[in-house]
Amino acid sequence: LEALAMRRSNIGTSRLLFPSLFAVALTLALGAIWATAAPRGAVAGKRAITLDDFARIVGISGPAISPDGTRIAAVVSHVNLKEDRRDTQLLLIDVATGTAHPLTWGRRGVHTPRWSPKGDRLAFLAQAPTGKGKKAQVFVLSMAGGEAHQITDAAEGVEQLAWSPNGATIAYATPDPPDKKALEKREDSFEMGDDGLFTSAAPRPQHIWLVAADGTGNRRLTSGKWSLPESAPNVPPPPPLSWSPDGRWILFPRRATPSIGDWDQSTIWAVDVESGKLRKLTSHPKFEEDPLFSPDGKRVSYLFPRQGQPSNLTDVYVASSAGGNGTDVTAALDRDIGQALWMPGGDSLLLEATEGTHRRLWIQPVSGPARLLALGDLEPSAVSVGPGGAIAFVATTPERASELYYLSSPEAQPRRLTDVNGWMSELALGRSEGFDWEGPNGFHEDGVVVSPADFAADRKYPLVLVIHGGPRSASTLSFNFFGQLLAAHGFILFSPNYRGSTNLGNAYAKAIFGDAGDGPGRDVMAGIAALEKHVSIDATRIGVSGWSYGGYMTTWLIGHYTIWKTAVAGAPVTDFVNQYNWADNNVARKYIYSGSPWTGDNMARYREQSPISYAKHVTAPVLLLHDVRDPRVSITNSFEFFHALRDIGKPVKFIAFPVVGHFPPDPVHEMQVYRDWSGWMTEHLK
Amino acid sequence: MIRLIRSGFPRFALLLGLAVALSAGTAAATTATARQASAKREIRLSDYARVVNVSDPEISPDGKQIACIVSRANLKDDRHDTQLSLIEIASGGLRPLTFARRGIASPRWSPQGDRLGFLADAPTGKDKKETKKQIFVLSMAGGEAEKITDAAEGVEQFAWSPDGKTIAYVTADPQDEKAVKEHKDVVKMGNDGLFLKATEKPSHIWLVGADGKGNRRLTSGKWSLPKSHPPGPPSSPISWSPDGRSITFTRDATPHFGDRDQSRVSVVDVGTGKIRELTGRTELEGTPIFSPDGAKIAYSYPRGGNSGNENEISVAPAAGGRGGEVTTAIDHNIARALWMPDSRSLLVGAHDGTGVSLWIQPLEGAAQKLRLGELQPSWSFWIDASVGRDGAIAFTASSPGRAKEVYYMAGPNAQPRRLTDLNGWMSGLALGRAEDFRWEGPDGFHEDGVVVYPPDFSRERKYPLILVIHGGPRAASTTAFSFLAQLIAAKGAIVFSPNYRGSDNLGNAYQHAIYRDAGGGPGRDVMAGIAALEKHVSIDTSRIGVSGWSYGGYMTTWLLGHYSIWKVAMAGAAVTDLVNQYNWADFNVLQRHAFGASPWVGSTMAEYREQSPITYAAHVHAPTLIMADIFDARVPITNSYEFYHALKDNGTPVEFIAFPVAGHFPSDPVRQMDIFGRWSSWLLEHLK
Repeated sequence: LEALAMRRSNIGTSRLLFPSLFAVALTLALGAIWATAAPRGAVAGKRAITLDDFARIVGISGPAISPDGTRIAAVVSHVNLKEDRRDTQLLLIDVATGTAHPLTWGRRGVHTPRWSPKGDRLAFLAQAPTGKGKKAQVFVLSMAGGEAHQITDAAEGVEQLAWSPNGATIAYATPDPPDKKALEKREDSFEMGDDGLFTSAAPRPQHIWLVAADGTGNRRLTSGKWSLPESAPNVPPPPPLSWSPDGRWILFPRRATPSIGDWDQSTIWAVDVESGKLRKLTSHPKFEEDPLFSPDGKRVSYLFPRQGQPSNLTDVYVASSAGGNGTDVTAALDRDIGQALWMPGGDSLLLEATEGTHRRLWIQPVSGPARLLALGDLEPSAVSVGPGGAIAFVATTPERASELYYLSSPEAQPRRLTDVNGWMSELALGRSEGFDWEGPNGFHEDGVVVSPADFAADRKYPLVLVIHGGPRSASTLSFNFFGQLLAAHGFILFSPNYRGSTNLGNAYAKAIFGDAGDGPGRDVMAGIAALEKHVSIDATRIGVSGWSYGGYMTTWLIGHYTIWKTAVAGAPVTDFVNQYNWADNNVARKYIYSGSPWTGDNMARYREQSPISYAKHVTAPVLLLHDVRDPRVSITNSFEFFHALRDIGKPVKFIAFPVVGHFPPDPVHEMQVYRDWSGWMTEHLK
Repeated sequence: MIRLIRSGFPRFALLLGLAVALSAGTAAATTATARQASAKREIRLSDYARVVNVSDPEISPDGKQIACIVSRANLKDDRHDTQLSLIEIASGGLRPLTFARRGIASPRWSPQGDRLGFLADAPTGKDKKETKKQIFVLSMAGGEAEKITDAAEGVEQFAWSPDGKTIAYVTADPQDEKAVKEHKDVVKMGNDGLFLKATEKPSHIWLVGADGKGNRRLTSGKWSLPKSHPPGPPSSPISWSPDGRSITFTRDATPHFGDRDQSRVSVVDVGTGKIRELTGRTELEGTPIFSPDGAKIAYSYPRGGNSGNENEISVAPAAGGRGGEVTTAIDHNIARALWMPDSRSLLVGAHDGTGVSLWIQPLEGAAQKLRLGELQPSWSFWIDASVGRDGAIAFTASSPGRAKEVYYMAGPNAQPRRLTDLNGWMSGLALGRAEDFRWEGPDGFHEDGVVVYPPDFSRERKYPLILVIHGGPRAASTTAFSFLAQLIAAKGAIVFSPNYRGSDNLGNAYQHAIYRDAGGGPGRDVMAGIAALEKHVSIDTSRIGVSGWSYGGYMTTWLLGHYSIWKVAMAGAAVTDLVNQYNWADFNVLQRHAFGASPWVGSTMAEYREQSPITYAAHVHAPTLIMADIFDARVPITNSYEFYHALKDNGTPVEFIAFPVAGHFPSDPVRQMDIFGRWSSWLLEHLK
């Protein structure tokens, strides 16, 4: 489901400069869409959105166009409150008619559908019904009929898969299994590296294996102490392995170690499928991700921070498949590329990125300027490219959650293929709009405002800020369940972007380096000042909130400005020293502060830019929310802020969720977060 | 064997309760010395599994038998197997009363002596999937033990009513199972530790018939009895009045560990459930116990109400009042008090120099120290002893050369007699000599520590020196048998375990001197000890290593950052950052008692940082092994992560080994041996 619309890149990519922070920004934007602008304001016969509606929203993900272009495989998921999980189903959608035909029943954890090159079979990952831990395995479904065949039995589960061009073999990635004998004897102590606080076994490298599509001939292809990227709990898997069209090579990103703290040491390699010999493609030492062979096999695209500087946005580089660093093909576009897929001719790529308060798609030729696709108010996320340049994608609008859309060519008009969230037309939703202002330091800035459905210009409204995480992320007009819920409670919602956000180009994004709170804080305050001139806000009733880096922003702002009546900080980063030592990506923070806090006089900078250092200035009552086993932003951050506020006699409440992850992975806990968060705002602002 | 810090603060004084007593206790009459080494072999790591542990001696009401728990390492299943056992005092005969039963703890005789109550593991809950401690009653007339409770959260402690008909026990209020099942299980955090996963529920007193009938709740409310975690002794045992009409207990303001200082002695009327406070104070009290005549209650309270002071025993009228301190003159940190049958004196125990002493303390007048020779009664923030109705005393103890056995004295003036022979096999070992060593320390302190020599020690040779520093810091190194020290000595190093200010073995001034001076003074004490030792024996000063667990890890990391004599170090479950401790340790905000204030208030943060070893990590040069349990609630592994990154980022060789278990030290023999093996090898290999 898109609910946790953290991109796979959360963990895996060079975009993850503030990796931890990256993760949750999007959590609260339940991606979705709808083609036409809904009527604004209260509408007769419609009702306000409620918390219960959360469970009715259907998710769509992983679209894959069939090789003949006539069908699209995708995964839908429904909230199952009784069992507190999301039930997944593989669907086959006919492009011509939009008819959806279910392919699986009751199978759990379905994701990553992949067509065989001839289109006669569909492979996917799903939770194995048997075996220890019911881990994800590869299943192959014949399109001629019959049930899916589980073709792997990897002890540690499978995270990614890719068909060989001839359809005979599937390459997949799985972690090396632990030494069971040692574990049984409890000889299970292990040496720690750049690992996170909750690491409770030695991180094991993930490697490439090959298996015939009928499940025979399983064999290991790569081995060693290095690793393919591994995904964190509750985060979508890394991008697939990429076969060369002649079936001789597989491209993959190689990490120096399996410890997430060493994620930066990632480079593009190719393995010879026959001999297992490895070759490195470029001369870069770090930061490379997402390699893809072009359809003709002559080129390789990969993601890399501009000029190799981790403070820069992620660009797409295209190199010769024979080797070399190639060239940056998206520098002129100046956007933080989230995904790049080759178009059929091999001369251009389909790009996905954020621009202003919108998510956009472009066609980027290998040389020359990019062309923006005309998508109306659609906010796209997951994308698939089909034969002839057809494009399928999942998208939301400000007032409709995820549906599947189709473009017969990049020039075509988008056509909606599914109707899983049409029920939302019964809701009187708040109006969402982009809002921009002149910020400090010459930045022209923007954000999203959602006003109550029954908004009246002559009334004054309490204001709630919900600030995105990341910070390498952005608030957009994608459907936002929680924003709508707050608007239905009678608040104006404001989600400002701020320097460090990825939506306004490189200079804006990198301006947060070495300036984690002050500049971003001034950006947000400028946004509020501008908004107060634009709509009628009750300046005595302003609340601020956010999750992850949004929690950083929240705790920073309440320690530096006094306009706040209340605050909610979810999984907040309050102390960068905590993050350096205990986050799953721990030492990555050295890029932000040009060094470890433990060397030279860096510690002063870490502290100076940590909200905890200003906790004594907080006056607003604060609600802290945190998962007890959050590997990305450890709960240590919330404990500190809790004690600091309590000890100086400020009202604070600390609610913990006894689950693993940077945001609760299950619908019941997710709804509790929204209930506690909106309830706290209502209690303190009304 | 390793008695870790007891999970609750047995009394308030143990604020920094981080001690790991790495000694396996007991006593035998003579020291094994190097001179006797011929035909003996040296101790090795595998011997660890051969050491038998005995604990919880309880003299029967007729004074003829002693119940106790014998525990043996089971390497195959990686656990310690426990047996309830019975010792015939006259003959010393020992026989087991239970066989396959697991997790036995807290044997308690019925007042008539016809039954034995004890705790043991039992499948608990609806689906019987979880194992928790329940009360079992064993008839001494024969037959198997009957389980008489089915407490959802397990039984923490229990006590027989004087008429033998009823058992009072303590259990935590149950979690709302339905809410948990539906994932409506959010946790309201208070002064809790980092690893809390469910809202802390208060523990309360229940009553049940000794036949398992008539189970009922006696107390309720948001307040709580202090949490106990058997098999360790109760944090504060509940105590019946001899007339069976009331029970005295410690009442904490909340169930949160960080609020444990808000504790007061209370008395509940068994008939009405009405509760009265004994003294009118609202903090720092604990371990109340009725005198045999029912007229008085003895309880613990730090001298003058200052939490940095020694724990004293006060005796108050059972009707109410504060009474007065009776142990002040002993000037030691009393770990436990038991009434003698006359109701006019108490048996008390405490660290005393490099040993553990027992005293008879009359309510008025001077205490009489018992003559125990080289026996060291077992100390684990508690004294493992029992007083019979005839004034006999049973206790477990070790000596420098022999692990724990049960000892018996017919009266305070009798010679201790060894009743068990569980570790006699150790006489086949050539153990190193353990000796008390004293020096003049800084600031006018006369200080002491323990030195263990290699079994084949020769005055002509130079030896590498390894420090093994005790935790706590409110604890002490004694000459009790120490497996780890003997293991290191057997590999050819002199082992030095210095006490330091903050240790509780040399009086109140010494113990209190660590207040707001966590590392500076204690560090100078240790360095003075080394300087003195160098004059006493021939040490190769180019080969000195330092190590310790818990607060011993604090000392290790502090010393590494302040002195340059170290060639190598091992820091186990080390406190490296006191701000970590304040925010995430299970006792969290109690850390303020070491500084007088929260780090988040005023300018106290500077003091916390100044006294944290992490602040000086850039000065460390010695290769350091770091070890920690991943889910250690007492000293969270956050401390180790910080020190690891700090050393690594500064280019100092460091290895960080983690154990994927809960606890301040692993509880299973395989991992315990893994630690001893790594600890000794790392140090010795770098000192070659």
